[in-house]
Amino acid sequence: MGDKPKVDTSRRKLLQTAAGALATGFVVATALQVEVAEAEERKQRRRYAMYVDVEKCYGCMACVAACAAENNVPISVFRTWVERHVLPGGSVVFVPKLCNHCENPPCVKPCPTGATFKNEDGLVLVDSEKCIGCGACINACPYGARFFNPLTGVVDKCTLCDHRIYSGRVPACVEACPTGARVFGDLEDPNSEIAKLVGETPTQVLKPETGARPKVYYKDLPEVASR
Amino acid sequence: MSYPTYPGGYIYPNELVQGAEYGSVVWVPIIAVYMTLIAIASGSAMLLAIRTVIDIRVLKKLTPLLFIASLSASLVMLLGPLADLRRPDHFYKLLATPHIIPTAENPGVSPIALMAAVMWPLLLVLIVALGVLNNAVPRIKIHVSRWLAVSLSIALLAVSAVWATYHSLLLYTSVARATFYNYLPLIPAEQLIQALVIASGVIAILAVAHRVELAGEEIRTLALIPLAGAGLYAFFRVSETFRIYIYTSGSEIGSTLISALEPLNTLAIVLAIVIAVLSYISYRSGSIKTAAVSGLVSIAWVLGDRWLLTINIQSISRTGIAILPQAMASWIWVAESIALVLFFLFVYLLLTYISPIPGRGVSHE
Repeated sequence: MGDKPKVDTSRRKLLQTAAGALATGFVVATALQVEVAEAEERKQRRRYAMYVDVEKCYGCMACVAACAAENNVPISVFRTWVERHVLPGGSVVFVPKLCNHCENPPCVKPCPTGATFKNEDGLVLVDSEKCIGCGACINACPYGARFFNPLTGVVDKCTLCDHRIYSGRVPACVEACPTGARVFGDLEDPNSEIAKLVGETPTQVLKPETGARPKVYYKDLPEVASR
Repeated sequence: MSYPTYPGGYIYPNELVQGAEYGSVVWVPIIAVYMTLIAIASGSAMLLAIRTVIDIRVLKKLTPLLFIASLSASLVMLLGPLADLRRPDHFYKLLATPHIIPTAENPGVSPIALMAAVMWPLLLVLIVALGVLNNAVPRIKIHVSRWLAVSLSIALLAVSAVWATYHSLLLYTSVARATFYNYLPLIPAEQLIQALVIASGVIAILAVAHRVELAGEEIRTLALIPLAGAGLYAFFRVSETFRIYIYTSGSEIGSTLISALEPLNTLAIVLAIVIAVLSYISYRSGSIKTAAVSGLVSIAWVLGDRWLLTINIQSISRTGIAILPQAMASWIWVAESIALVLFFLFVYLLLTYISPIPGRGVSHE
């Protein structure tokens, strides 16, 4: 009599440890889940774009050559090109141009087979297996960025070097530019250079009146080059 | 490295090299012939539908012609774009995976896909149905309720009206050419009129060829369609031409538009007036031969206008301030176009062999 019941401290400790481990596991799992979801969201919300500083371009055409070499672009057609404009005062400016990968691309709607499409990251691409070569997208593009590839017989255009950017590299034209006139990146990433440049610098786009909402942003674009 | 200079003004480099045989043309000349064939098919189908709803004596007599002309033109017309495609071996994808349902990847609806995969089969089915209902097919006689006949006629009228204005629908999706279309807002109405005029003209030619006996009153009724249509067209197009001169006079865009438009646009207006005059003569004299001559002029008229709206507009740069060089030296398009027309005639003759047209010595009764 009078003996206190013996408390099994080792069991209590075990239960406490288990509960602690469960709680920690839950917190870690939740944190991981959130991180995965955020990463997924980030992935889904990529919005690739290009920024072109017209003042920095001096017309060396390195981008044109690099693009042609990278993408096997035949002579006489261009995925990217550099225009030379003489301003009223007599000064000369060079304006690099390419597909604008529009937010509201006029070329996608008339494609009869869905060969031209907008991917989840906002790139406007062509599935050459689906393309029938009707030319509807060429006539719909206000920027002259599309052409019939004489080698494949189907429509071709700038892909922003999707084969490079999805392996962590920049497009060939951006890499080749000696003055850094072209900047490529994800507009949805607030830490990217392009997001800062587009956010902080006054920029222009080509033919805004078409409602295409281009994603190639120009700094110091002369009016004469926006036709 | 030297930079290209463009003597014609400012253009995009890719505009110069769209088709090796045709210079800067994306949609090649056979499309103009294809669009003319569409006008014949849709116009005849509209007259067939109208005839079912309204009892017009001349159309009743010409029903077999309307039926076979619309059916044969509809059957062969898709060969036109087939000759235009750079990858004709992929053509089946247009029918197998048409872009007619908007998705996140493929927003919008493609008029080309909609017409080829949905409206084309629908047009064929409705033409056959109305042909059978109107006893245009020998040995097949089906009687349906008036309500069903009228419903089918309205459906055919709607489908063929969409076909008649398909060219303008295609033009409006070509955002790159927007500067041009802004000055010609009446194109759909004009093309609807043209379809009816060319169909009545073709029917007059076929009536002469098959020696279908028509009374003077019937010919007068037939002549009213091109008389009214060509007159209305001329009024519309002259108004649009004035609009271009008033709005763009003195500007760079204006001079480009006028130099690209002027010759064929003037020709289209003149031919419309000629058709109206010939139709008036046919109306006054009750001469089917004059109506047939008016029909021949109407074919040239529609072809010229389609050429203007297919080829000439593509010679205007996207910048709107330069004319692109055209290279029409290649005569492949002539051979292709002739082949398309001959195939249409072959199908027409084949169908008239299967279902003879009631004329001198032939009767369905």
